[in-house]
Amino acid sequence: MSRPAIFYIAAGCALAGAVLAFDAGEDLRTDTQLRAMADELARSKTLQLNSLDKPYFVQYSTSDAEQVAIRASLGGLISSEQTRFRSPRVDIRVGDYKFDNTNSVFSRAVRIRAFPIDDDYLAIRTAFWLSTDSLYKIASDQITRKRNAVRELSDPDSTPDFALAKPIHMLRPIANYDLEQRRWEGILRELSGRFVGHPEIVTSAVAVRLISSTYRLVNTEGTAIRIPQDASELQIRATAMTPDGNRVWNHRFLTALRPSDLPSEPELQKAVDEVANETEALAKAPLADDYSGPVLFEQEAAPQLMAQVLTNAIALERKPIAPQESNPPRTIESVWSSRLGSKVTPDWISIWDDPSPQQFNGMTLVGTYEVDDEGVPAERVAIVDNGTLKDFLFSREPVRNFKSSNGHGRLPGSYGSEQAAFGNLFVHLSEAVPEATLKSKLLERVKASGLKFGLIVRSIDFPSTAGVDELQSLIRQAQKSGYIRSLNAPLLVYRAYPDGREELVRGLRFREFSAKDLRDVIAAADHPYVLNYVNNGSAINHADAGADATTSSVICPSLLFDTVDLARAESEPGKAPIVPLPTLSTLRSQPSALNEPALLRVAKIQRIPTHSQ
Amino acid sequence: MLALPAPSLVDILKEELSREFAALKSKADPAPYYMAYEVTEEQGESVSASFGALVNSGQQHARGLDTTIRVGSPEFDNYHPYKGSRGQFTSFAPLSLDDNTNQIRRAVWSESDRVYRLASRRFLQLKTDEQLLADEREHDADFSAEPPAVYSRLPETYKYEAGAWQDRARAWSAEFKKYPRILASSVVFRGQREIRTLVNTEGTAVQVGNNLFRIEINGTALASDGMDLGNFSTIEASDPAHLPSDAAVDARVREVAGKLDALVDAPPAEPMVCPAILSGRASAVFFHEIFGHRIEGHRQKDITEDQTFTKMLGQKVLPDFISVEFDPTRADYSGVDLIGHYEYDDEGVKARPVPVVEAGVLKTFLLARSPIGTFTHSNGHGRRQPSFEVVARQSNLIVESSKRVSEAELRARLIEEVKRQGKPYGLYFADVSSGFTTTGRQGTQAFKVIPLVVYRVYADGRPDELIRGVDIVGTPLASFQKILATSEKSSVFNGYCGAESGSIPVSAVSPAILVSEIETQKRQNRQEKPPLLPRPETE
Repeated sequence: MSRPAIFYIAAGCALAGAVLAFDAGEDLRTDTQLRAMADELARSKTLQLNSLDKPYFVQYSTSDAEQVAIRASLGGLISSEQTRFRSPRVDIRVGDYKFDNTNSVFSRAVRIRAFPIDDDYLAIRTAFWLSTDSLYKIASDQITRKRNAVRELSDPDSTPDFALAKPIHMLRPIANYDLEQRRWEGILRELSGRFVGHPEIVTSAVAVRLISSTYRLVNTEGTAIRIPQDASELQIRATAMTPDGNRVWNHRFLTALRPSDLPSEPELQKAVDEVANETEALAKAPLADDYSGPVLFEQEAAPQLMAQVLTNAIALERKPIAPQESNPPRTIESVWSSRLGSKVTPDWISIWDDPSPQQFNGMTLVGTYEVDDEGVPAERVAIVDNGTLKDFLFSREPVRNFKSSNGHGRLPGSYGSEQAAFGNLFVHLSEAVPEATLKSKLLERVKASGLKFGLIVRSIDFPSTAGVDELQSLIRQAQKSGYIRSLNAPLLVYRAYPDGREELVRGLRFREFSAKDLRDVIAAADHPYVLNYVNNGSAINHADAGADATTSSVICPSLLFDTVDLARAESEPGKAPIVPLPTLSTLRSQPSALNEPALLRVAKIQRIPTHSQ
Repeated sequence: MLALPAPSLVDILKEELSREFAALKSKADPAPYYMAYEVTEEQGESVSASFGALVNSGQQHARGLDTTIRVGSPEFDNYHPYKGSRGQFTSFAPLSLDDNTNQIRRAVWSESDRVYRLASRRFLQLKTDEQLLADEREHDADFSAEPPAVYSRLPETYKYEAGAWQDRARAWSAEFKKYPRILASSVVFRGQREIRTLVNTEGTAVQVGNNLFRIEINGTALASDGMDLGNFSTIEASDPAHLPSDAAVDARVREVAGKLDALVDAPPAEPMVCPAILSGRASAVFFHEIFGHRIEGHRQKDITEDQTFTKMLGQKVLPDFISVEFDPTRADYSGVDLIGHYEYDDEGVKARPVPVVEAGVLKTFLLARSPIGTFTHSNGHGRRQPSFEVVARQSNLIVESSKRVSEAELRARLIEEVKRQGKPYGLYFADVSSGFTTTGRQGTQAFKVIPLVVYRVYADGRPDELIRGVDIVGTPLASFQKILATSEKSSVFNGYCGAESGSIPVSAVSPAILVSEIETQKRQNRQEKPPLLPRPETE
């Protein structure tokens, strides 16, 4: 049986509760983990293998975490686990800031597996001692191969491998709080049980992942960090069957930092009921045809769209050094990579990333953090200024002419470097109209284009819960049409008729869509919508990817696009199941006692005898 | 509100099974002729520690469904083996931990639909492919007839004191600190309660289960020439009262650690063909790997398998003083729990002792409900790990010998044989490892045995000499025909065996054996460099 994917929060946090002053008096030495890490780090600088390079940079970091993961369906508990774990990482660089063992096809990060969860100084130091030793040997090998590869290249990339950064000390107090596993089991049983009233829904589940962790970092430049990190995510998923035997799926993600920031139970119940009703409606909705025309992205669909197109657009990829004869590794280039200084959107649009605000319009943001996972303080970055592209998000990995980090290294990247990811991304449109006016504008465009109806997209599959079949179909469709960038499937799409009527449809997929299409925005609403989500750094952002993740927010109002192309999804004619659905009974089965794990009929309970020493 | 008694899991499964079967039989084409649901529930705790510090501590509880649907007829159905494949239909679908009727019925319905589609697709493909198999000889039926069974016996439930086990794991693992040359080590405690609930359309309704407690002790080190070394030991029990005392476990940890430390200084092995004694534990592993896997029923039907024994029914495969029996009904042997014990297999067939070899002669194979040749019935060895399809697998392998001598006598005969063959020394295999003994429920290391602790036994009276890096050449099947004698006492080896139907608990019981010839060589050395900096000692 597989365990649910545990996500590792790379960086990012809010100061929990009240604002706390920076505790300059906190001594690193009173924290056992930091002390053990710092002491072993000091020795690591002396490592040397024969006449090979000594390390010029060593960094130890750990995520010390407690996680609760619970899943329930139709009122029954499927799984409930509470885990304590520590996820350490060692980064070793040999060479120098200009040329080191990273950014080549030979460079890859190595995860340490077994690591003490006790605050045992010697055990922690021993674990770092062994990992440092083997990683140093690997790093020496990596730089040798890289040097050999570079020798054969006629015009190798001479960008420095590592950006300089000022060392900082930031030690925040650790706040321990109860993740209330039992309470959440009860909540999920109740929430998932609401689907019993929707017998047409074939599969449904409500799941929660609550993680409370502390991130510690020390490096040989003198940086020492200890910051709390939290993430709480509740997922509601449902699928239903159409008369022609196809599956439709729908979901809702509710993301916050602390569990106490998640919506109240009545709000969660409302969300479950909405997902259920929408899913039932989807199963009965007609299949849509190909469409090319104005599209209104309403409510969460707008920031979902932005998150997808901008994930790749505002982080520059660097091509790793590879041997002459090898196949160049594929990287998805940013569509804005050569557009710095040019107009990339209409000039009434500005986009910036600001990790400092904790709230927006009364909603708690989850992309708030003080320092990224490389120990660089977070910066506000003006990315698009009145339509002109000004900047990108960076970690300490230099790319082209960009030589320094702007504090956005939030996820492990490829080839030994850190990947840049959003904090709180703001999309601001200075020309905005009330929400209701936006729909009228859509219908105006519809009439003007001579179309019978326009489309309103209210939800996109982001984060994605698409099944394997759907993902494969997406890839096939893209390959056939020759494009590589698109959006995930729209979940809720409505035809908007000139008389004001709306009709839910299904079976549409976006064609090619990237940040270039932002030029087609013609109107925006005046009230931004906040999307909080768990971000694994990929544009598709599949919820079950099991990768490292962080939390991000995208703040963006509803958007009207002039022309968007959608096509009917290719689908095999499905077969309806031969056996009809079993009826659902509303008789509640007895939930097991709340403080014992569920057991079948028990013959005898005994204590394991404690043997005398 | 009137509180009605909630239906049990068995009730829910039976009801949904008959609804599904009736509907599919009347509306589906091809129609099923047999269906079964098996629900496996596992509830457990695990604690692991290394060098005195806790590394992991967690609870697990999960329940899932495996579904079997057979379409066609018992003579030819969707499980028919073809080109080395038997089909994979089931997947471990999660089920509600409490007997929630709605969730369970929905999950069962959904899985049945999915499995039915796969079953009918393979069946229809086979019917076409079969026509291309021009020269297929008379083939065996695909499914045997067996009487239905109704039985229920749930395993005991034990409450764990997680804190106490964490402290024990810390204390035991701290023993490794006394050996600074040991680089990595761990002591893991696992306690698990498993319940299997099986219903089928023949009327079988069986609910059985086991407890399993396991302590795993593991260490690795590096020799000065860079050879990686390891030592490993496990302790198993079905009843926590049968676990050894804390002091005894402590002693075992010290033994594993001490032996590993000694291996660092031991000379490396040389290529050698010579007589050898395999300890009871080592022989048990050998018999399991080299012999046990070769008599699993499905291998006799599979043309891609090395069918060493298929044609040897009724012939001598071992010396005539050796007999081998597989007995899942035995719960223990001389006071040691056997973890390959079960009452009903994963097809609901009642377990029974199966004499496979009598006085050296091969009598039968291990069989599930897949007939082979003259064997038209299962002998209760259809087993699987959840999410895999059932095939015939081992249970408790018990080696009996009518040529037993004392340990001292066995050793004397070894030396005699060494002198007779004019060899410089013989070998004593004290401990070995294999896919059967390693942790982690993965790895199909069938047929491969890795010696851990091996000694040279000199004929000239020199003390035994520990050596490292011994690799066994080829398959020692031939060695088994060269067993000269066995010891009086037998030893038990418990472990997890990985093969086609996943990882399952098994055991093997064997006396020490003396073989006239075993071929060994020096293991390939990856030449790892030891750590550059000394181990951190204190603050």
